[in-house]
Amino acid sequence: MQILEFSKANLAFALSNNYTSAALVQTKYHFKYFSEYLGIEGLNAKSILIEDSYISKDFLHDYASYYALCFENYPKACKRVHFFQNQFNEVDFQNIIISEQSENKDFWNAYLGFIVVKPIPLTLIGYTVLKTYSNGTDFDSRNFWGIRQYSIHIFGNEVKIDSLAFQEQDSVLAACATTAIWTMLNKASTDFYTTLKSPSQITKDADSVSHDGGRLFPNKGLNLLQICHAIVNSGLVSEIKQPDYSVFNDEGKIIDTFISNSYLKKILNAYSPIGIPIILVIRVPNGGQYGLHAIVVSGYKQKSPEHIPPQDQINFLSENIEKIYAHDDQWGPFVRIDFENEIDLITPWTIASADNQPTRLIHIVVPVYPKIRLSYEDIEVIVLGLDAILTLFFDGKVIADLIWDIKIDYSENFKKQIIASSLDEKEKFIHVSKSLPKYLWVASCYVADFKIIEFTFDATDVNNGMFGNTLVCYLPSDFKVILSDFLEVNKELLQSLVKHKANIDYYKFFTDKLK
Amino acid sequence: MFIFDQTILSINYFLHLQPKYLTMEKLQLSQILVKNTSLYATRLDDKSEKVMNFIRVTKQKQEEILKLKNIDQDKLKMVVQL
Repeated sequence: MQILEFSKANLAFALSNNYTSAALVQTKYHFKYFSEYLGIEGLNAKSILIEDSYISKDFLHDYASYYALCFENYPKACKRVHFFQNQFNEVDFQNIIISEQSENKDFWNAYLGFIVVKPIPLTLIGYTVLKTYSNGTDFDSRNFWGIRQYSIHIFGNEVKIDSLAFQEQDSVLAACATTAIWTMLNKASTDFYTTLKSPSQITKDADSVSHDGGRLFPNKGLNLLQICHAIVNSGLVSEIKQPDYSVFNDEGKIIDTFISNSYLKKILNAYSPIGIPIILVIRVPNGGQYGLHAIVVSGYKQKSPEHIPPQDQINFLSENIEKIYAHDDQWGPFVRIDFENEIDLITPWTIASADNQPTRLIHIVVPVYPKIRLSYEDIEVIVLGLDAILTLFFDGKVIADLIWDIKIDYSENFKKQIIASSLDEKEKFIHVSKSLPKYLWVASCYVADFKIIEFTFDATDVNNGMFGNTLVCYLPSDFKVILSDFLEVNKELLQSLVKHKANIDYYKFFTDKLK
Repeated sequence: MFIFDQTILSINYFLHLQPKYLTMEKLQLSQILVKNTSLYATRLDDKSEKVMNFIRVTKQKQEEILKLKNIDQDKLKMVVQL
């Protein structure tokens, strides 16, 4: 055991190993990122504790799969580097770890997490669990929805912190896509349907050969289909979201396609309540060229909604997402990403590149539980129609434009919201006592700060079915009567706005539920 | 503004006749409506260009969203390798 004061030089020393010197460590993007993340502007670490001969289960799997078979005698034990927000010496620490943990609450509250240093050349950042910056669910707070609780055992003491594990790709057993899946599974595996696997196991799950027909290891990256295979073999399924924005040349021909920032925000907002981190396939500037890279989003910051005057254009609450936080295996955990114009993202790759070349989003891979069968797009199509109907009904008489919030959630959470709502007791009982599927798509409609109406859809139903589930109206009953009459009177004109094979049934459901 | 040709119900009428629906906890229409306006179950004018254009544009947007569900098979072969 070794205790050091936190400084850049000591951090580089702590992260070095027999194959990679402290000087070489300092050239890595990870070092630059961790220096800032743990530094005075970040988590403000004061002390470093180095724990030698640490057995990392995760590395052990990869060691057995590959490194043990190398001629070079790579060690199987790692070192674990802990960070604290307080200062102490070796004697203090020895006294603390042998005394009752409850007597040292303040000391352990200052624990910030650890980085495992693998005994391999250069790609040495192993299993890493670090605290997040401040976290909350209110507007204007960082909302890390893709994290979980980790129990960390340090010399007989147990510390719990909320985080999402991180590690660097080792470029042999795993490329960025494998590491992204591993990060995602760290959270998803808290549900018993999903299995957490080591990077080498994930790469093997993706395919039996490389995408170019060659050997799987050293791994040369995964294609999107292989990423989906690996996800399925871990007990989840994936939804791939493809570009919605085209770039044209002077002759009007499409020269490139990307996912717009608006679509990205909708998807993150929609799937975040399930809590499974979402994989982004991005095109990043790298050494004067562009390359495809995979990162994992686990949080965002959403500003308070602004009141927009009534307009024909549909508005989504997701537009208020102003930053996202992602694990980028070549930089670090919870890397901040900003939005610029319609398609550009500002990532550390952008900042590090000459002329700040933008990062752009190519695909989104949304891992979901297999029971979730309806996608976001199935619901947005319906909501576009509902928005049009309500816009025609309100006829510009509302104080602000309708804002929609489309999310998938557990039905138990939906019921909790009903209990906490302003609905009267009778209505609450009707909704809470109703048998519901495990997952619901919930489309909430707001006027200014008021939720006025909420539509739910059975997320486990088949796409052709009448998946409308519940309608909750937060306005008085007389409003419901007028709206219901409006729907009856204009049925011929408005029914076709419910874009679905079961539109007749859904329109009837909408009308009847208001009565 | 859309053109309405039929007035059936006025919210003020209901608020007057059925005060039992008014509770302090429940959201009131007056909180979301522009002052001195009321809602009516009116028949929309299907000859109104503005109404029909709005419906047509909405349907176009719906088609665009549905197109996003058709995955380009070639794109699935893109290798993510940085």
